[in-house]
Formats: sequence, structure tokens, C-alpha cells
Amino acid sequence: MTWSEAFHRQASSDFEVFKHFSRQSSPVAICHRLHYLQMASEKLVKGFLTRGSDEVPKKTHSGLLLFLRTLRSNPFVRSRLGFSDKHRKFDAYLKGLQPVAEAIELLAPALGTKNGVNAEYPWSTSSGPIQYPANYAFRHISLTEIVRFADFIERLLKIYPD
Amino acid sequence: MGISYEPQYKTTHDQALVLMREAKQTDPNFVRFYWFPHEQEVRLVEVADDVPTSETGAVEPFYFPPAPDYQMPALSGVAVISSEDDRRLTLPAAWGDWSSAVELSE
Repeated sequence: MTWSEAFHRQASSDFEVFKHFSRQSSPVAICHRLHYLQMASEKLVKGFLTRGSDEVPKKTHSGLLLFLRTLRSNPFVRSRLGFSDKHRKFDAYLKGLQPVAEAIELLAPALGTKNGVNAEYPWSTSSGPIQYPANYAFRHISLTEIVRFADFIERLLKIYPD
Repeated sequence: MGISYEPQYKTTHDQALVLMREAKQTDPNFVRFYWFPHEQEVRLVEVADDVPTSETGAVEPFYFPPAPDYQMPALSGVAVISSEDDRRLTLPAAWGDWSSAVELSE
């Protein structure tokens, strides 16, 4: 098995957990859904970063935005995402994903937002109380955006099954 | 085209042109494209005006599997960099150095 295949399969597994936690009947806090969505997207991207190499991948959590940018030159992905000859609509679709992709990427504690918000560990700010993810609403990421981004990740996982 | 390259690179060169045209059609902010000749895989750096400068100092390509039905018979390694990083970043070891870059144009 290659690094790329391993990352891709782990991304698929992470995404299944995200879906499981996203069922209406699921009692888990939203932080856990977001955490698994962040991990699925990170590992999906790493799968594409490592496909051309046998080297152990770097321990990075970023790259999602550049990956989205790279998709603009890929006619196969454009077509499979349903934008056959609609280049500008494809561009608009990818640009529309950028804010939520950035917000999801910043949920990794190693990157984090300026105020410390992340999906895994408690945080505090100089002016506020200690917070923890399971008690935080993550209102800066709307449910609509989460659904749209999750749909994108799921479709990419299907377009490139390994 | 005015670009000279060895005949064994024709397939990957043609595919690099496909990718360049696709990128330009989709997004006008790409300003330059560098192709690094290789027989088996496409190695392409896309330079854009509106991406942040690199935090790692390295060109980090994403690799896409071949898609022959879309004029992409070879593996594609594609990286996007800022115009401020143009020719300044370290390339993947297998790609050689910037002196082997061929700037693509129509």
C-alpha cells in the first residue's frame, strides 16, 4: 500500500464517522462532527500530496486552499463534479467553498483561529473564560456551509476511490 | 509555440498544455505556467497573483491520477504558487531545478 492509498482510505473512514455523527438522532456535540470533517479533508488532501512520492509525508495540517486552487486546471474533476463546459461556474463553485474550507482547516488545534477556537481541546483567551469544544456552538460555520463542504469532500472521495 | 523539447516528452507536454488552457479558462488570475519535462508524468507549476506566499519555501505539488478520456493520459503533478514566489521556491527533488523549467504559452 502507498502513502496516498493509506491517506485516502483513512479519509474515507473519517468521513464515515462524520456522517454517523451527523445523523439527526446523533446526540454528539457539533465539535465532533467538525473534527472528523476536518480530519477527512486533511487526509484527502494529503493523499493527493503523496501520490507522486514514496516519501513519508510532512506533518502539516494546511494545504486545503491550495488544493482547491489546483482543481481549477483539472477537466476531469470539473466534469465529474457536474460542470461539463461551465468553467466560470466551476470557478465560482470552488471560490464559494474557500471560506468554509478555511474555517474547517483552522479547526485543527495546530493551526487554530486567533481566539483559540478549535474542535479538539479547551482554550482560553485573555479576556474570556475557559471554553471547551463540546460546549461551543461554532456559529462562525453555518450548517449550510458544513453540508456544502461535506458534499464536496464526499464527491471527491467517490471521484478518486483510492 | 516556439518551445523546443525532446520527442519523448510529447505526451506530457501536450497534457501540460491541456491543464494550462483549462486553468486559464476557469480562472484569469493565473499569470504564468512552468512545465518541467518528464517522460511519464506531468510536472506543472501554476503561478497566480492572488495566492499567499509559501510558508514552507517549497513547491508542493498535488498529484492527480491519469484520466485518458480527458486528455490526461499521464499522472499530473500540479502546484500553485504566488507570483511573489516565482522561481524562488525549492522544487521537489525529482523535478530538478528551475533552469529546466519551460514556460508555457499559447
